[in-house]
Amino acid sequence: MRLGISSLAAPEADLQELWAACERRGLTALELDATPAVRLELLAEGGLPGSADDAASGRRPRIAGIRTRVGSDDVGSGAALATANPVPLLLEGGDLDARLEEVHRLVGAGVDARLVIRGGQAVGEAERALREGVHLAWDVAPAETDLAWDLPRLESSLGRGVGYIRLLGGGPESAMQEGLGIGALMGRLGLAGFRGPLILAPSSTKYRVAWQRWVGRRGGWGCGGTTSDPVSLSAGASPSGGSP
Amino acid sequence: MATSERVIDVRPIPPREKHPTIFQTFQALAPGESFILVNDHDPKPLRYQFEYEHEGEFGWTYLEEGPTVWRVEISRRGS
Repeated sequence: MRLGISSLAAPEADLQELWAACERRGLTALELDATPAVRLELLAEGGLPGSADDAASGRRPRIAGIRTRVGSDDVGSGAALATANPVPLLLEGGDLDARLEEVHRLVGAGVDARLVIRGGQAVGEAERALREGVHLAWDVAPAETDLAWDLPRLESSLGRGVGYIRLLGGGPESAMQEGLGIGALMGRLGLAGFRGPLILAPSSTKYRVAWQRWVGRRGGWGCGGTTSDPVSLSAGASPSGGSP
Repeated sequence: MATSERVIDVRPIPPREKHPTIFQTFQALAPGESFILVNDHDPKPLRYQFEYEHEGEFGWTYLEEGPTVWRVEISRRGS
């Protein structure tokens, strides 16, 4: 399992700043999603900054995936980036038929495209996608779905189809997500031998300040003590971020 | 050298669920099996809890000791 973050965790941070944040937090994976500071079309044209040796040697966190949306102008740039690096291209948005059609088109063009599934429809979408031979990326949204219900059903496909996971939350939100099944999720992924990326991303833009502060500093993730990570949100904290 | 392919990264887990998750994972192991715990600090309190609750039943091997990440292989000894 390679723990990492999405560029959405700090939309104003460029790639170098995101890599530095990963190193501060001991994270080994970075997912690129278009932000004001991460422009997929520019990266596709100019390549990723730094050297390939840096990535190969482990001196910087690896790009785990490129995320884009059905119908977005970024699909082409994302596909080019994904192919050049090479990493998965994660396709979200639109209805299932549109997403599947786009994934099939991209796979046919040689891109490692994966269907993003999420929420209450995730299990049904996964079943159809697997019948069509499509690889999956699972967006775990603990606040939207019952992990205790979904997890056993998706577990049966983990070895075959789900090789990439994004967890909406964690980071500064982890203390607020008690009782939503994240512990069970991480335990069962570990026992199943999951080796793919597990990317943390904000569950809502209302926590953006807390995430930007969390990304910008070194520190622990919290082991129950309120002083262990002052940028962690506690249950009932203001969504503008920070512990009371 | 680590022998386990099972990795439990507890960093995203809500704080009060971390230890229960680790112990539930340990209980799910068969004798002779192990998992690798990944944490952001030395899990000494966890080790003390293991020693109290599972004396003689577990193995504990540091694979990485900071400064940012700690990795410990925790094994279940044969009965």
